[in-house]
Amino acid sequence: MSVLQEIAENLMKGKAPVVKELVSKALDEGIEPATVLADGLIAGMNVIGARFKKNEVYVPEVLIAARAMHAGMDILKPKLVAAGVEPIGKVVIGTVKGDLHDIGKNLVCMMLEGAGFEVLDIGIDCAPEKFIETAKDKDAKIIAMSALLTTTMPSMKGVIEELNKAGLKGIVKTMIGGAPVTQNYADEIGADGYSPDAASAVDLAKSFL
Amino acid sequence: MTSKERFLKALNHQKPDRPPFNFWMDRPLMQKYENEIGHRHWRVTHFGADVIETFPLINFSGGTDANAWDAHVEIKSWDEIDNLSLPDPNNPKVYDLIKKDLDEFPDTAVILDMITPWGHVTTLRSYENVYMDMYDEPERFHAASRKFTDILKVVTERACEMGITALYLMEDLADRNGLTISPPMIEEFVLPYAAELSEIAQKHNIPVMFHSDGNVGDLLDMLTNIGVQAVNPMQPHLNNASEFKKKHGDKLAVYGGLDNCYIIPDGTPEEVREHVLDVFNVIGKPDGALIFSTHDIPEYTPKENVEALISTIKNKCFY
Repeated sequence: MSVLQEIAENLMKGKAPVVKELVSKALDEGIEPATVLADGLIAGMNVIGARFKKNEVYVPEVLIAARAMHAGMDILKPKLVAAGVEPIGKVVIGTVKGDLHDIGKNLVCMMLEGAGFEVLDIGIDCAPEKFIETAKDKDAKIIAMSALLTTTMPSMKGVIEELNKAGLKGIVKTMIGGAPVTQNYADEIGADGYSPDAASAVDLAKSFL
Repeated sequence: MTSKERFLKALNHQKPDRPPFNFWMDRPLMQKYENEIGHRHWRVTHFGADVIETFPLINFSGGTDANAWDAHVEIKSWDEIDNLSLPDPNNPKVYDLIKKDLDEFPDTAVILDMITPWGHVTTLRSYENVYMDMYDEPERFHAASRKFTDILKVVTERACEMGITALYLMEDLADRNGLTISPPMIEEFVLPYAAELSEIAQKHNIPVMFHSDGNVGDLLDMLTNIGVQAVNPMQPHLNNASEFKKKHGDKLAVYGGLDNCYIIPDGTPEEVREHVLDVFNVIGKPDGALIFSTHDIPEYTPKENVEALISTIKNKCFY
């Protein structure tokens, strides 16, 4: 098994210290940082994402895999920056105003990072301005919003309205998700996309690139 | 027929005069109704609901003067959990609310809301930490669950002796796509402790119910294995009622079945009426094993829809 396959395999098992060691080993062997990222870490997360979508693995397995990914990224990130490797896209993500839930959002963050996005996580209870200012400041082209409560879902519409007022309609894409959120609701408020789960959120974000 | 008799008949798959019912709403909306009507159990006193969910005043971060819903402490380290000052289940204050509800409503089904031991650990550690703790710290997880379970067993025993109508175990183990944790993990970390509470109720011939949000299809056999007789809320957009009835209807009653996400908030009163009758025909009609309830009805739901919901249950759903 190649070191890259080993990275992917151990990432899928959530073995963070092993992944960290293997990433160092791969770099020592002279493998390009971008290759370690794509064929090791992202390859492993892709498998986890696909299995999660099919209910073959569950939230804990995604979390420990993502933790292993982060362990690998701690070693890899400086090398990627030095090599000028860019993320495939930037996503501003947060739970909307009034909503304090974050596990769904965090899962989406992990999946997006695992797919090679730069994730700008602005946290929970986020006002519309926070989404928009962060997108402007960081030149992100995707805003992802999460809500777990029917009472906070309308805040998603507020973000889209503010985005339109800022003249960013069509330039910055919006995607929404969360337990009570539906495709109908996305259509109703003019969001560019809806995702029913964290793994599908990656496909949706990629479709905006 | 009293509400309690109606409720117990439904749980035992016998047809009462009509299905018993309860309903839940977003908390600000419930508070509004309570303020208008002037009674904490306004659903029973004003709308004729058949069920009161009562609970012990106990939590593992706030002792015996706060209920489990008030616990919002995230404990960072397992050492802190190991050294928690645990609540005393023999403190009479724990049972104040249960006693009040039972005394005030002797003819209503008064069921005991009981978050599982797994849920209490989760409340202290947060879901995200707990999901990883099950991999990283299984022994400590079990040790905490053991301690919490021993306390909750005392509470359950006492509440059963006081005369609760049912034990209602609660834990969210699923989301819209299915289980959130794997069946082996549920079997290892959640159900053994829940089963100990269930056994106490069964010893008193008190039925056991279980709440989990989400698509719970893969959970149902595991629940019946620990003696659960009814499930809540069985959200209809996530669970197919006909399939449920075919596969699990002989063992499980439904406490729920109504659509709080789409039809009740967004439909017309006529659509709400049709929906109630559909659920009644599929789940209730064959054997009576239906206690209508909803998950939280959103705050923006028109009052006419709530009225259509209740009046259809009370006036159109007869066995």
